[in-house]
Amino acid sequence: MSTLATREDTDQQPTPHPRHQLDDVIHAPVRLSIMATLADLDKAEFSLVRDTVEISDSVLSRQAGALEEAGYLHIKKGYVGKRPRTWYSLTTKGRTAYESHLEALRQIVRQSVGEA
Amino acid sequence: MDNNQAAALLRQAEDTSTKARQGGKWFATYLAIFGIASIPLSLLVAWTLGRPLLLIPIMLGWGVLVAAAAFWSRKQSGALKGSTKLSTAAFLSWGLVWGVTVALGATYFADSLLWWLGGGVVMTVIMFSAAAYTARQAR
Repeated sequence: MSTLATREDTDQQPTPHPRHQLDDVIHAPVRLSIMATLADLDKAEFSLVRDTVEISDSVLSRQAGALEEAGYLHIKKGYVGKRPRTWYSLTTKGRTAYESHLEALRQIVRQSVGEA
Repeated sequence: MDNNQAAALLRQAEDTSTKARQGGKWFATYLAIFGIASIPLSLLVAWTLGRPLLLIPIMLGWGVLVAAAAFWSRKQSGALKGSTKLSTAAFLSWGLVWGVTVALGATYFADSLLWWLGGGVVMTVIMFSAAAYTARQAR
């Protein structure tokens, strides 16, 4: 009896809207662009990310820090000759989160097309 | 979030990724340089067989090319996904063909232009294939 009731309850639950699968960390447009910049690269130097996303040095540093804190971004500092360089790359967790986020966006688009 | 916002974000992400991939295009040129240099290297080494002193400036020239390419690559700001693996595979294959070309060529085909040219062509094809793959990836 109780098993049946539970199953019915489950069956009646509506499918959650795909927006619930959006990643709050990546959802900010600048962070999404940083993730998109790094998605097809093994690594990118600070200036490439900054110029691609078209943001200032300070904004990139701040947003990259937030992505690193979430475990999505690996930041490596080093030197080329005497010049200091900062390299960014996505972690495995970051790549998975980015793909899931894009998939959620695609589902929203598909769902809206289906409803129309 | 509605359909239009989601579609706009997807477009933004795709455009940004496309733009960023251009930053890895240099790697195709890097590989192509070694492809172009392979045939002259092979022919020049064949030419110096039995004249070891002539081999010294050729190897020095090759060393300069490798050093310049390495220096240039370090100055680049982006590396396409999988470029390290591709580079390793391409240079290992190149090295293997180079080793076979020189080892067998010096022993059995010292006077065969076709052998040395063939070895150079195979090395060029290896590097050009890797360069073409990279250029496609960077699009």
